[in-house]
This record gives sequence, C-alpha cells and structure tokens, in this order.
Amino acid sequence: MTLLSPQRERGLMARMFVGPTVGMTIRRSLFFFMLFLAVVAPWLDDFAHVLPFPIYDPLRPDPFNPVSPPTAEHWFGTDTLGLDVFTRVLMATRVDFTLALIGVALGGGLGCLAGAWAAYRRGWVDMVALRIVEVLQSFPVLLLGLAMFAAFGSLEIFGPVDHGMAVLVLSISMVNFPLYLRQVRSVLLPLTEAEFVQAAKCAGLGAWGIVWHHFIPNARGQILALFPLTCAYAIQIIAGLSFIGLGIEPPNPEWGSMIKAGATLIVQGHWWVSVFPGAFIVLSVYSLTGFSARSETLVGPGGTSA
Amino acid sequence: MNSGQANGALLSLSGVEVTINTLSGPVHPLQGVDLDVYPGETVGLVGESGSGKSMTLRAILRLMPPGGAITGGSVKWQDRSVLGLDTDELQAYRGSDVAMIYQNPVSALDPMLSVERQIVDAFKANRATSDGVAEEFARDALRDLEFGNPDVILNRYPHQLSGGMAQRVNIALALACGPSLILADEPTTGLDMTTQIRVLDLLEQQVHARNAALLFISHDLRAVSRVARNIGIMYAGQVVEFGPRERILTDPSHPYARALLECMDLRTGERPRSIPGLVPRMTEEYELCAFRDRCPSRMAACDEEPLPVHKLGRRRRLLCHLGPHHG
Amino acid sequence: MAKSPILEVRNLFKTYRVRRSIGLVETVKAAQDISFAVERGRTLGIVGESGSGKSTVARCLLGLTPLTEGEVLLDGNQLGALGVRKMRSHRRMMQMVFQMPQASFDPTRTVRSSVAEPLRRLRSDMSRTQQDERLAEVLTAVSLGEELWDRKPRALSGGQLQRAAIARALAPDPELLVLDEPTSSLDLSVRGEILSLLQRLQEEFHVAFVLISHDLEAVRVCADDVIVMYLGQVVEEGTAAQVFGSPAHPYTQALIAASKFETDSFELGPKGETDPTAGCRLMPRCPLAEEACSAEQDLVPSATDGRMVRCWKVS
Repeated sequence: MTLLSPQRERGLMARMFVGPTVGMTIRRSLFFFMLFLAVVAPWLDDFAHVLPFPIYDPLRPDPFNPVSPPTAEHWFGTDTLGLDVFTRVLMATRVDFTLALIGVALGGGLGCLAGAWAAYRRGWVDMVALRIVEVLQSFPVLLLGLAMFAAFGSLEIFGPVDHGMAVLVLSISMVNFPLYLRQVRSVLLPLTEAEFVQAAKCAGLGAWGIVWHHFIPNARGQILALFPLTCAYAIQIIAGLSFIGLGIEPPNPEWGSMIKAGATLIVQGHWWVSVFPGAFIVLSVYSLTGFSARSETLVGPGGTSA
Repeated sequence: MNSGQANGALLSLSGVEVTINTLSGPVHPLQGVDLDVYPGETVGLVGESGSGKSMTLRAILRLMPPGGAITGGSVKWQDRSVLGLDTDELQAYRGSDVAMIYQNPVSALDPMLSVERQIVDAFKANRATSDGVAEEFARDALRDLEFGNPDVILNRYPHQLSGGMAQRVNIALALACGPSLILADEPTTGLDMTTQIRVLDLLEQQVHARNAALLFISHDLRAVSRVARNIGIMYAGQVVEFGPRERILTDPSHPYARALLECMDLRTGERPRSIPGLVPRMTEEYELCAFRDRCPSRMAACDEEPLPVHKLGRRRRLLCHLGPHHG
Repeated sequence: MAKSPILEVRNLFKTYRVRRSIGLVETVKAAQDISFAVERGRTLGIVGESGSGKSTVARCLLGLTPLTEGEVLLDGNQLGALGVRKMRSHRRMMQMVFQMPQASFDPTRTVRSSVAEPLRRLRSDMSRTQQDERLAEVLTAVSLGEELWDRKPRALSGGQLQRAAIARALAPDPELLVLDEPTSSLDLSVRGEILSLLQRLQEEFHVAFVLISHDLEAVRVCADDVIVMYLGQVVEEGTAAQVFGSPAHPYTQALIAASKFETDSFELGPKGETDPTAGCRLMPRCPLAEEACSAEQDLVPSATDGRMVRCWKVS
C-alpha cells in the first residue's frame, strides 16, 4: 500500500504549538507567556507606571515591611528582607530560562554532533563515545554539579561572566551531552547503511558532509522532542543546585534559592515566600513537557515526518 | 452484487469495502471486491502495489490496520458472515479454517523459538493431542517439503535458515493448523528465481495433497499462473477481471490486463512497454472506472456510467464497458 | 573512436570477514578474480542470484567498499591510487543508481536538492547558474514533471523517484552509470518505462552502463555484453546475443529457464547447506556434474565463438 500523503511538512512548526485540544494548546502557550516575561523582565521597572501590577526593585530591601503576606501592593507578599516576591519571581524566570537554554543548547548541540559522528564512524569512535556517555551518566546529577563547582570553584577562568552562572551552564551541558549523544546515535545507527547515504558518498560528500547534511536533519524529529524535555529538567537542576547553595547566590533572584530562603518560614505559616517560586518551576516544567509529547506524536512513527 | 449465498463457495467476498482513517484523511484501499474461492481450488490475485491485494487478505482475516475498518460488503466463510464472528470464533476461524503465509519468510517466524517448537505449537493450538503426535507431524511435514534431513532442521532457529528454507518451514506451519484455505501473500517474491519455482511447486503440491484451497497473491503474473487455476486481476481496489488461467494469460478482456501482459513481454530491439500514467490515489472513491485515465480504449460511456459487471459463464467476471474481448 | 575502455576491472577480489560467534570469524569470498571491461556508450549486464557477488562488484567499483585485491581502471587511471582531488574528478565520471528508490533519497530533503547534490559537489567548475540549468536539463530529460521537483521523496511514486535517481546520477555528466537492480522494486507496468528511459538516455548522453540485475529479461533487452556470476565467480561471459541465445554454462541455462518459468527444460538441484570453496562451485547442484568437476575450473574461451565459460564440459 502506498499512502501518498500530501505536503504536510509545512505546517509542522505551527502544529507544534496548536492542538490537538484546547487544553494542550493553553498548556503550551503558558510557556510563551513565561518566555515573554523572561525577555521583558529587565525593562519592567521602566514601565512600572503603566503596568497593571505593582513592580519593585528586586534587590532593594524594604526594612519596614518584612514577611508581608500577599496584598494589593505586594501580590506575592515579601520575604524576610522585605523584598517583593512577585518582582523577584518574574526576574528569576529570566535567569532560569536563559541558563537552561544555553546549557541545553551547548551540551545538546555537541551531543548531537558527537552522536551523529559516532553513528557514522562506528568502530572505536563509537566505543569511545559510549564510554564517555557511561561515565557522565553514572554520576548523580547533583553530584556532578557539586563536582563541577569543586573543580571550577576557585578558578577565575570565565572572565567577566558571572562565575556561578558559568559553572551552572557547564553542569547543564555535562548532563545533556550524553542524553543527546545516545538519542541521536541510536536514531542514526540504522541509517549508516541506507542507500541515500551511499548516494551521498557517490555525490562526493565526505564524512562531515554526510553527518551535517543528512544525519542531523534525519534526527531532527527526535532532537525536537528531546529539547523541551531536557530544558524542563535543566530548570529543575538549576533550581536544585541553587537550593543547596551552588550557582546563583542570594540576593540575586532565582527560583531555587528563593525556595530555600522561604523554607524556614513555611513552618511558621509564611508559605508565600517559597510557594510562589515553586509554583513557577512546576508551571514552566509542565508547559515545556507539553511540547515533547506533541512533537513525539507529530514527528514520531505515523506522524507527519519520520 | 454477487451471488455468494449457498453456492458452495468456501469463501465468498462480495462488494467488500475498506476505509482507513489516516492523519491526512480517509483512504479507500478496497472499493467493492468480489471474489469466490471454492473448496480445494487454487485462486491467484495479481495486482500492482496499491491495488489492494494485500488488503483483500487482511479483510478476509479481519485484520485491519490501525484506523481501518471494513465499511461495506460481506465476507462469508461457508455461508457464515466473518464480520459477525465474536473474538473466540474469530480466533478459531483464523487458526483452523484459514492460515496465512507471509512475504518475508524469516521475520514471519519467531526468532526465539526452534522450528520444531513453532510447528508443534501451531499443531497443538488447534487440536487436543500430545507432543509426540505433533512432533511426528512436524517431521512428516518437513519431509513432504523435501527437507532431506528433517531432524536437523527441526532443531534450527529461524536465523539459521536460508530464505527458501524458511519459506518451506512457513508452509509447514500453515499446514500444521489443518486449514481448509491457505492465504499466501507474495510468498516467493524475495526468493531467487531458481528457488522460487521450487517453493511454488511444493506449495501447490502440498495444498492439493491436503485438499485445501489456496488464495495466492502476487505482483508477478508468472508466479501466480504457476500455482493458480483461476486468476483475478486487481486494480484500484477491485477485481477487474476474473477467469481461468489459460484465458487470462492468453486473451484477457480488460484493457489493464492486456496492458500488463504486454509489459511482461520484453522484446529485443523494441522499446520496452509500460502503462502510461499513474496508479490512482486511493484517497478517492471511484464511481466510474478507475483505469479510464490510462486506458487506450476509453469510450464515452467510461466517463458517464458506472462500471457494468459482465458475468461470463460460471466463473468469469469482467468489470469493463468494453465487454468481453473477442479475437 | 578506438579509445581505451571507460572501465576496466582486473582480477578483483573481495573478502569479507564475518563474525559468526565469539572467537569464530569466517571469511566470505564475495568476489573472486573478476575481470571485465566496459566500452564507452555500451552496456554491460551482470546477472546472478542473491549471493552471487554482483552487488559487491558494484560497491567496489564506486569505492563504497575497499577491494581486497585487484585493480579498477576508470578511463585508464587506477582508482584507489588517486589523491582526494583526483578521486573527486573520477567520482564525477562514475555514478550509481540504487535498487530502492525510496531508500536512496534523504526523506528530509526535496527531490530537487537531492538531485542537485552531486552536481554541486562534483562540478565546482560550473557556476551556480550553469548548475541550475544542468539540473533542469536532467530533470526534464527523465521527464519528471516540474511540479514534483520541490516535493519530498515520499510524495513521489517508485517510478517517479527512480527517474529522479537517474537524473541525480546523470547530473554531473558521468561517463559511466552503475545501475544496481534499477527495476527490481518497481511494478511491472513501470519497468518498461524505466528501461526505455535508460536506453534513450544512453543514446542522448552517450554514457556507458553497468546493469546489475537478477531480472534476466531486463538485461537481455538492454545489455550489449553480459557476465553471469555464481558464488563470487564469473561462470560465463559473452555478448547478450550469445549468452541469451545459446547459453553454454549449466547455471546460465538454469537461470534462463527459471526466468521463463520453464523448469522442465533445465533444472538445478536445491541449494546446498554449505557452498563448495574449491572446484566447480555449482557442482552440488549441477545435473551434469561428474567426478572431474571437483578440480578447480578456469574461465576458458569457448572454441566456437570466443566467449568465456567456466565449465570443462562445454568448452
């Protein structure tokens, strides 16, 4: 049976975001709302007079109003220093999203290339790649982060870049590199003997030409499915590392360190300091994983492109 | 359309339609298939890819692909509707009445089980007997299929068999169920020419020896004509011509069948022939003749009236405005 | 045009090492002492069943797999002895069409970009505009409708894709096309279309073909010369008229009989469990076999018409 499907490729990107149900579409548009917040966060202060919500300086304490419950002036309340939780949660969106994205893109990108290269070359290249993957994956994620901070903690090698952030990004990359390598390699392994790869060899393409022009595009679907999922994990890792005091240091706004700051207050009934940043982590992870499920149905077997 | 009732047919398909709902909309691979198979008879179906011949077998077994359903017509097994069988009855029908031989002989066998285990399991699934009887059957069946040393083969695993050997084991497996009808889906397509003929002959021989009927489908008219007494030509989800082998091979009436015969016949010094145009897309339901765009004998009636069914004698049927060919 | 043959293969050997289980490595002789030549603008057919080594020969020709021993001379230059740049210019001269049209196109790219690939890589001497003109020329030459050029491979039928594959191979203006079972996976109604297209293109572009197929009918109508292979060896070679008109080797006779479904005329025995590695490889299956066949057979010219047959009973 040949079931010739018409050109369905074009709408792929649009259909990543819309459908199949209203609920799923809302779930994914939540991500765009948060992404929008992350992008505009630094300029919110400039437009404070036109915004429908009260905004403050995320780093200036208000000693006269500590641990205030949510009010009309402080939507999410204030912490022990009197810092506005609402403003800080918004600012933290920017920090967490950016670090997660850079870390995943860096580690994932290198992982894809390495995975494609291992699948193409096989033999000892493949074996070395797999051993590296195994070593990296045998570390618990937080331990890997700790090790990174221990290794780079005292080195001033990142120049003007914030030291904690740089090490966080590196840790995220280290976690993602093996994930992408494995996934891309397993998808491409059966393609090494495919006739179109041989045709490309006849067309004069070298190893890198084939990896770049044929292998990576053919793993596109799987990469697309993995990306939002790993970004969600990355956000959790960043928050986790910051929670144990690594990476972003207070008073800089970051979800994990904010949860930590409010942890002792929760037992006294001052829930808002921890709960709001926690809720944002949940929301961002939830909206991101929605993309993964969607891209799996769209680009997986039986989907539009496989 | 067809008088499938009480005519003594083992299997009778009449106006069978199948619709598959895919992401890109409905597809109609079968658009009114009429076919009778009588006890002990060998019938061949010839068609190109997309003609619906594999789907016909799936409809007979009620094995629909995801999103697919039989949306019209009837499938009757000895005057009982197959479409009305419940799960248990269906399982019994698939196992002991109708058995299937697949195109890829090696992957049709379970890679983890020995040849003996598979034949014994199939044999026992339909009968209450001991392992000893089943093993005896397996040995005899392999000997009938010209394995010089059955005991060696019985202890082998599928990956230790060549394509031709694996397909002969599949034939033994199908026979183990003791079916009245064997369906064969391109069973020799992947085999070498010299092996192919041998497997075809063994299949025909064993089917006859056990008084079973055979429904054999292939894209290769030569393979079909080697085993089948009656041949149907499929195009766009319909059997457009059906008749005795000699007639179909020498003087078919449907323009598509005639064109196919010409394509088979390559002559030195002449340009090889082909059928111009494309196989129709099965996303459409055809009211009129689906072949008319490629047909060299297209007439006014082809564009206006639905296809007439010419019944010529007891078994010959033709779906074409031209009517039977005389010449 | 009494030039050297475009392709000459001398004593090609190819041995694979296959790991059967831990510690047990078997060597498979996929091609043994294969020699042939292809003249410009002519067609050499290679026929044989699966496992005969005909596809191995094709892959060796194109450098897709290294040869174990022997020489492949393209236009008088030995392949393998060439540097990278020289190799590229020879890639241009020899292109391949694969068996499965759907598998030979990258599913993520349009037909146009796949067909353009060898052109862009191998014809850097042409400007981008010249390349685009050439692209349109070959796609039109194979009569592929313009509306299909920017579609993905899965939107095309097998026949259409195979025509695109032929266009891709022709694009860099090669002297030789290796066609590996170009019609085997296609429907019968399309086979003739591809074969007659190949015949037309050969006249139009004066390109030589190596046509590898188990479809003897296709080889009979297209080839000028024919090689028959069995278990890695050439068992018969001659002109198409000789080989198909009066086949000499028992294996050739059996193949031709089988392809016509006329087994009564000449039938081989069943394939054995293990293939012989010395003497006549066909011996266990051959109805004419005698004791003397277990000695090594040479490819010897037949006395009457100059063709080569590896069988002492007929030569």
